[in-house]
Amino acid sequence: MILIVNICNNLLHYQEFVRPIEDIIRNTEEPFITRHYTELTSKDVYDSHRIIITGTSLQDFEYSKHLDKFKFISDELLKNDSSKKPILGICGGMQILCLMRGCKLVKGLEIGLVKAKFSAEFLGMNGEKDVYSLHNMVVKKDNALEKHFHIYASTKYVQAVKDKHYKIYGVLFHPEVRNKDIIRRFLCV
Amino acid sequence: MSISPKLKTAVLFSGGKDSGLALSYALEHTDVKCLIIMVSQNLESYMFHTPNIKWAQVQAKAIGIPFIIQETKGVKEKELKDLEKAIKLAKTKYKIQGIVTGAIESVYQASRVQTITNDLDLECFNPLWQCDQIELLKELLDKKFEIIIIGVFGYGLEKLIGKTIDRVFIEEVKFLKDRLKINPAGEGGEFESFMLNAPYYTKRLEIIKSTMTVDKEGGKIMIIEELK
Repeated sequence: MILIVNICNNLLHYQEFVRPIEDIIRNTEEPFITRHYTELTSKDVYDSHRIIITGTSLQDFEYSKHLDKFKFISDELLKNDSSKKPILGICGGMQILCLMRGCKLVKGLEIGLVKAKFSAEFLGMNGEKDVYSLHNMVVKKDNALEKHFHIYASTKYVQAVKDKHYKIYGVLFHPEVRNKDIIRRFLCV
Repeated sequence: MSISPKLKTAVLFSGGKDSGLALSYALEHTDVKCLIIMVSQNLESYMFHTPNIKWAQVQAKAIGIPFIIQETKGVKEKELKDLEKAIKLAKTKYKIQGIVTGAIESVYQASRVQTITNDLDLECFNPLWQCDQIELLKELLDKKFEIIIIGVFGYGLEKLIGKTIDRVFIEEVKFLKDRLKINPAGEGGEFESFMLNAPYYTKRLEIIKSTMTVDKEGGKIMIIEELK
């Protein structure tokens, strides 16, 4: 079962940031459930074999006040998780993955298509690609980020990371808009 | 999920099926304070739906929601300044907190509206974003929208002009999608639509008189001359 964690604070944003991901997964015929982060249970996390944390709108940072809901990404719990389930964080989802590992966010605005340079193969992406960006905040490129993650792609901001020890992937851009194959590839990791 | 008070919004409204369906989502989840109607003088506007746009205010009256009309010459990028002006007015007059659009696939349209709303510290909602476009046509039908095709702009599409979106139309569009590689919701500019009725209309509209015209690239447009 794939668990999609919806981080949108407004119900209407589900249509824009969650439903497109569900549509991609539905077409693969993989079973999935979607939970809002405020309703997430340990059982949801335990029962899943793969997790996707969605993004949300430019103005929505409510999720960052409730990081306790994402303890399942903490080092302590990951060490004891024998399932080693893959996790993909998209935009705000990537920011949560990084915040939970001690990284910091800084202001950084990108809206629309930008060219990201991939230094190595990342979920099927390689070389220079147009990616769809929609963010006001970015993960700071500092020692905390580089301690936990390999950086795979950048514009002037870090665009794609993978955890050094776990199958945890983060993309700042929105693969549910352009480069949908990233999500399909993640389902095969 | 926590229940926040409903946000006050304005909906970018052209009178076509996409903004019409986006409005139904907006009415369900937000407090819609007004519609914003952009009237472009440029028939090939990059941003705004143009055929028969003058009738959008009649549609807005049939819906019963206040509206703001903003004229624009429709010059690429400069029309965004006019859109910004209309959104600022909606923010001042109706205290809106967000904008709702009917964008489906166009990164060009969506990213420009996102930029304006972000600059004005407003939320932006695109409830049809990336949706399956045949499913969108089916949803319009299931929700009892009455939509007519008023413009077709591509080889092989001529016979769609004047048709109502129904099951036969959807089958025909599916066939054309495979054969001509068209965008089945028409957002690529292949066709334009006009909403005659919707679940939130207070009265159904009827076209009393119309004429057909052909643009310089061979597109067929039904010009509505009388509507009641």
